[in-house]
Amino acid sequence: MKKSPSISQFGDHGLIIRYSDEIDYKIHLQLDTVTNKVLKKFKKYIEGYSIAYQESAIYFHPEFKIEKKIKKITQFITDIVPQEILEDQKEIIQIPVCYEKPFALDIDELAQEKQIETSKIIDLHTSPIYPVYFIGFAPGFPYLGGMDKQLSFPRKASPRKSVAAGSVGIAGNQTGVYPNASPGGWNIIGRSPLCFFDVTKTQPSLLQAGDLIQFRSIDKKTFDHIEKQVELGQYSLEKIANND
Amino acid sequence: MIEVINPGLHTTVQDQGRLNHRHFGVPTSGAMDQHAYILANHLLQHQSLKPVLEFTISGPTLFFYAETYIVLTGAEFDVQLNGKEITHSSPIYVPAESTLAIGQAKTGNYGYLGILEGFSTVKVLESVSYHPSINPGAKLTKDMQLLYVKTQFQPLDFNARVIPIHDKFCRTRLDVYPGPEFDCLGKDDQEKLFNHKYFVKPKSNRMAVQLGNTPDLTAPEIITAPVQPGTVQLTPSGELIILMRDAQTTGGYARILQLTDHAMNSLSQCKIGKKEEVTFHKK
Repeated sequence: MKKSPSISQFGDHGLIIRYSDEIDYKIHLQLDTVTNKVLKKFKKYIEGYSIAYQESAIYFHPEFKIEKKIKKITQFITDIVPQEILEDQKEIIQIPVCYEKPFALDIDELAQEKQIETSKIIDLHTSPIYPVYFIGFAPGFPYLGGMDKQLSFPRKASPRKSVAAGSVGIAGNQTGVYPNASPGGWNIIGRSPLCFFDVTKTQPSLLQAGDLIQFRSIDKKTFDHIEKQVELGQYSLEKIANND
Repeated sequence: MIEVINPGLHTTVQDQGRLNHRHFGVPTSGAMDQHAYILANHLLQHQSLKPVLEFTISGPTLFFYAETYIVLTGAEFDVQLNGKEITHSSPIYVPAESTLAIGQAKTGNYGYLGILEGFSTVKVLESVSYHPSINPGAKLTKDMQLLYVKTQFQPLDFNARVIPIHDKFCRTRLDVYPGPEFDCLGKDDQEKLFNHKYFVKPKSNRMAVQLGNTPDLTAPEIITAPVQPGTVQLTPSGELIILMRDAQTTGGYARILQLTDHAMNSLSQCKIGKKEEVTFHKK
């Protein structure tokens, strides 16, 4: 099914492509596809863009007079046929996470409060395939969908002054990874040895909108091993086929 | 080479910003007053835009080892070169072994120091602009060294004279577009936004300007959506926040207005406090 987005100007050089007002992964995929098609078609006029749950913003070069071109872009989007929006089979990126001490700062508290065994928390967290809706909030920070509701837990009353890079946390109905060391109020249940944001790479963010990921539980020894490989630039991401 | 004797309150290397990495959650950053940044480059007759230093409230003290030309734009500060006052908005010759002392801001908030051929700071993700988790070295610290190109001097014909306009009315009059959630407000509430005088609250910085004396308006949170510098957010508790250059790329507050580029530059120089009355005008 194809839904039509609304298109509007956003400031001097911006354009917003907006779908419905609720979070829906299928509609998000349409947004992703349509945004990418606009990015490709108008590539030389585009300065940057960002994408969120149900809306994307495309920022054009100042010389490109957006108010004059908005009709043309709207027509281009309207003409995209539904078949083109079908999503391809995707790979699932495996994210190794060590759910042990000293990384899993809050897992015991979570287990106690929720009356779920720690091992069950790990099961619940590693089972789903999480779609990466978009990267926002901070460089490389992935907004993930699909967390098991049994794991929902309010953010900490007072945030920590510093949370280590790679920390995996839960806040409300969301789970996520801190790409850089930063202050934060999420409940930390583990840490990944991967580097989620590296400015020396052409694509600095490990993940991007449209990716599918799964967390995989590893022990401390494996964590140390992968961490070393990542440091030496010898680690290659593990991906498995999506059979859904 | 320049040696930083005193870094000042918050002095950073800036350019047009990191415009093409927003989809990775990277803020645009860049000079707060882009107009002053471009002007500094034009006055030094640069063929392309080169990095400048941005300082605020209290500027840096710098020691220049080699001769060069500099220019000061943006907010006016008390500035002395080897103990003598120098003029704003025109290129100044700096002899070798000079000390440049930039004191307190007299007008506006953000001052700029341009140097002939620009500072030789390494670009990270296509920009030199400071961001703590991208290029922490682009913020000045005591004793750090800054490099600039020692060019063979062609006799430069600097005839440019610029008279900065210090008209408060120009600076505080902000042209805006309706934002994506503008229509969620009723007609009367929309009008309230325009028939109102605001002021800049002290909490304001490179990430956001907070407005004081807000009208009695609120808006519910939205599903996290794209934002950009100049987005005016209205919070559920009635605060008005204008996102500035170091802001996040997505946000969850209602985006009721969007400043023009020109208004962004003006707002960056609006002084904190009730003396300057900020108003919105429909573009």
